[in-house]
Amino acid sequence: MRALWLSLALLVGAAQVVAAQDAPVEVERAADARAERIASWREALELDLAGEVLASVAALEGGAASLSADGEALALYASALAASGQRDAARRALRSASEDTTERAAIDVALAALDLDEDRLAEVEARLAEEDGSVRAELQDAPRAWFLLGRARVRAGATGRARVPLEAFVERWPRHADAPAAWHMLAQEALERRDLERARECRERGAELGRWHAYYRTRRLQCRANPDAPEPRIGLAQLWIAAEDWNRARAELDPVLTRHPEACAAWTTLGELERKQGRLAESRAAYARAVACDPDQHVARFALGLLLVDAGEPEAARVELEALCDDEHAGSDRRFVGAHLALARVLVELGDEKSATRRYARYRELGGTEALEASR
Amino acid sequence: MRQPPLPLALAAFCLLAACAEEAGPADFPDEARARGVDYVNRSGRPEKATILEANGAGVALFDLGGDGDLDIVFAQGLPSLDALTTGPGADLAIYENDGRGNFRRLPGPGLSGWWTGLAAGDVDNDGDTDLVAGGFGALRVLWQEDGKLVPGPDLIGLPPYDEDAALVPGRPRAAGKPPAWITSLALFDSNGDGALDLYVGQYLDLDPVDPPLGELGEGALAVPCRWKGHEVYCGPRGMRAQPDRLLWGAANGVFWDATRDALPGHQPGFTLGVLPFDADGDGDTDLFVANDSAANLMLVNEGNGRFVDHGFETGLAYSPEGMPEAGMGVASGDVDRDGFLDIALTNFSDEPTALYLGVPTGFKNATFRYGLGNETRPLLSWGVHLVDFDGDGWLELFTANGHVYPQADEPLTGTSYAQADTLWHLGPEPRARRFEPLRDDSIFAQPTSSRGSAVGDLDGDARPDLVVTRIDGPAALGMNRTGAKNHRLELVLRGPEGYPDDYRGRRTPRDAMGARVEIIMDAKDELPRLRGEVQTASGYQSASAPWLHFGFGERTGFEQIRVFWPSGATELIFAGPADRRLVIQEGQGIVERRDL
Repeated sequence: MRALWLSLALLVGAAQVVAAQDAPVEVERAADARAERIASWREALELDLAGEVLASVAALEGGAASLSADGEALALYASALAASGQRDAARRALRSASEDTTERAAIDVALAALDLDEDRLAEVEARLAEEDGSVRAELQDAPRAWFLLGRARVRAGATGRARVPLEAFVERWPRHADAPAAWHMLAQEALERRDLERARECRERGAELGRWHAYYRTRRLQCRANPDAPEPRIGLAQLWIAAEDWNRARAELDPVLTRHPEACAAWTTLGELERKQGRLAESRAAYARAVACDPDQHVARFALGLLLVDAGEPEAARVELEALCDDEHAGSDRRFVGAHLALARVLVELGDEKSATRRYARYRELGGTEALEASR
Repeated sequence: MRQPPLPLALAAFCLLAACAEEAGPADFPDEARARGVDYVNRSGRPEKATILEANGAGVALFDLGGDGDLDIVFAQGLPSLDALTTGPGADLAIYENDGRGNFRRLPGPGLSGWWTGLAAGDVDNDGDTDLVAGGFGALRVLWQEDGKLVPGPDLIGLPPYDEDAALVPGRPRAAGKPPAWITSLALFDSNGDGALDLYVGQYLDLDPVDPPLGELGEGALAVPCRWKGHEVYCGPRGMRAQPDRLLWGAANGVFWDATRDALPGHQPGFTLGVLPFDADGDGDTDLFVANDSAANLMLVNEGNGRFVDHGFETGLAYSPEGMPEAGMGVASGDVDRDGFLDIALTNFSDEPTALYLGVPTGFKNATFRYGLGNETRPLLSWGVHLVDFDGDGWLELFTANGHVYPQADEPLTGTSYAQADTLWHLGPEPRARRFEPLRDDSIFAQPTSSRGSAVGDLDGDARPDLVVTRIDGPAALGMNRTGAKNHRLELVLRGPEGYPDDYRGRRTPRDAMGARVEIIMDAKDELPRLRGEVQTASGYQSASAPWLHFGFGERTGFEQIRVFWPSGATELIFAGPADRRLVIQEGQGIVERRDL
């Protein structure tokens, strides 16, 4: 009997040790789940799908009450309520935050957003700014605090006072979803000061970012509509490449390449990503894979041809560039007009002056203006 | 020939008597049915599977027959998209006023189409008001002859457009050829020659034979047409916007397309609202173009009928946060009485109706300072007017409301399909105060789904009334019963008669379109003056009366009226009493006066 108790005690002890060992794993898992949930709520709100957030909150064990200690989650929930026309409920939700709520700043910013929705411009100022007008110390790392303070001031007609928080916002969070709006408000502020050059610059920055975000939004909608399709994710990767955020580009691209190696455009995009990062060998390999996958990956073939030129491999470059220039469609596509010039120069290098002249003539015919000799 | 003013005098007598009995609440009772207006709008099927079915129809108020009262013409759509190909098409609906605000339906002009926008003005300078009707694949001038509207030139295929721009209901049509879709129209004088020109607002390419349903794009890159998670009709985002057009007129009904010269670099932008007004106070007429989901245009007239867009520089292109909003309708007026014309612009739900105050450098957004952000955010608004309805000297803001998506009634959208129309007082305090309806039959009492709207004094009591079209439903006549104790003045302006062929130089159109008026109540008083401008195009797809209404509040008269004619002439009218309708003709001063 004693032996049995001992065995049981050992078993319980072992279980406790295992449980204690598992505890950090569970905490980690919970943290991962929360991060994933926060990210998905944030995206849903950006895509005007507040209902998804509300449904997700309702499905949580404990419902909305379970969020009381999580300031960021509570703020997103409140945003979803407000977007669904339930501003009073949003306010109540934010007030339900417990004393020990993490990320208190998120609650304050969400309350300021509600004030702004209700045209309580002075309250926004009081909530977000110190007496000297600067962003409150505890909100310094909350991007929307800076943005909302600027927005409230613009709405109040105090455009000049909006400048400082808005300039800080676009500098610290240049690709934030609200950055195009901030640039626009800065442009209006510059116009009021009659600083036309700055106004133009701000306008262009805002418009460029606005286009990027519009594409980004569309791609995410496409991803939601066709979760397994490679095309939208390749588009997202291209957007991150344009934004020079290599990590996020790769994060979009890698799963596509794994699950859809037949998606030839993904290899082209990978080639572009590698090239932008200066990894020319990897870039070349990716482009070659793209062309092997689909001979009509003209962008890849063009880039591959140029890489081969730069690598001092004119014969190989000639093959790729000739294939491109002689293609029925790509050969007359103005996007690839440079291929004709590159080919002409390769041919000169290879001593085939006659063919070079012919290729150069075609380049000019397509509107090219550079001299054949320029590269020498 | 204008008829003797006897009916008006009778009407005035009757209405004064009616006023004496009018002890009811100060409101806008809907008296459409009681007054004989039985128009019911048709705009496709209730489920609104395509964007054409959601936009509704406009209305025009103008004097048909020259008897001094306002008659009503409604645009009309069809019961389904299929009817476009099977026919028959719809005609315009005309209602004749008996001078006391009671109406009788007249036979239509015999048109066949899906009609959307209307513009009113004296196109041929013969002294009566003509009409231009726009539609889905249609743009038609209607001459006023002997009190009737007679179909005139078809402008839809005017070069550089071709026959594909036209859509004739019942005529077979191949897929892939979207017709020209006309929305708001504006008759105004762009080049100061005294002949009315026509701005043609156009929306987007919609193929009636093969319209997009459920999603835009193809394959994996298709984007589902959804709003707040609900499947809705597609557009305008993702569809192709049609460019607007500016047609120059020759005062004889001949128009030619001057878009290339007059609107250089014009960018298509899903136009829904068009407002001609003198934005910069330089005496010529500029244009504000409200675009749906694209930058609005502030087309500043260079003085010769050529326009340059200053939307960005004037702060009107985007929301204050730089977002292109769904501009629907637009109106102007001097809200803060500072001498600069201001603009009200209606938008989609979650996008407040915007108020822009004119300042020396352009416009400054005052939406949120006036509290309109919170007030209007759930509303999707179309027709809009800045008019002193209650006669206290300060303008009110009217918006005709109703959502485009029936799915707005689903839970958690924060809005609804049917929405009550709204009115706000905007002065003297710079804060919007909502007008609360006092009676069940008020046009502001019941949620409906409004679209076009027009303003004019229908019953001759000098109080501007409202006519509102409701999609798939009966129109409303909001008879103005507010401000009974306030004094008012109604002005009717007229340009010179005749149009000499050899005339060179600036000239006022016969219907005085573009004339501006300033009323000084008391030069010693600090109270700012009142301002108005003769234009009929305002709101959404509609034409209001060209008469100017001024509220004097408790004041019983004015010290001076200044009229700035488009010809460049200025005319002064000295001290006079209120509560009158004055007809002022260029160079001749007051040619008719009538007590109200």
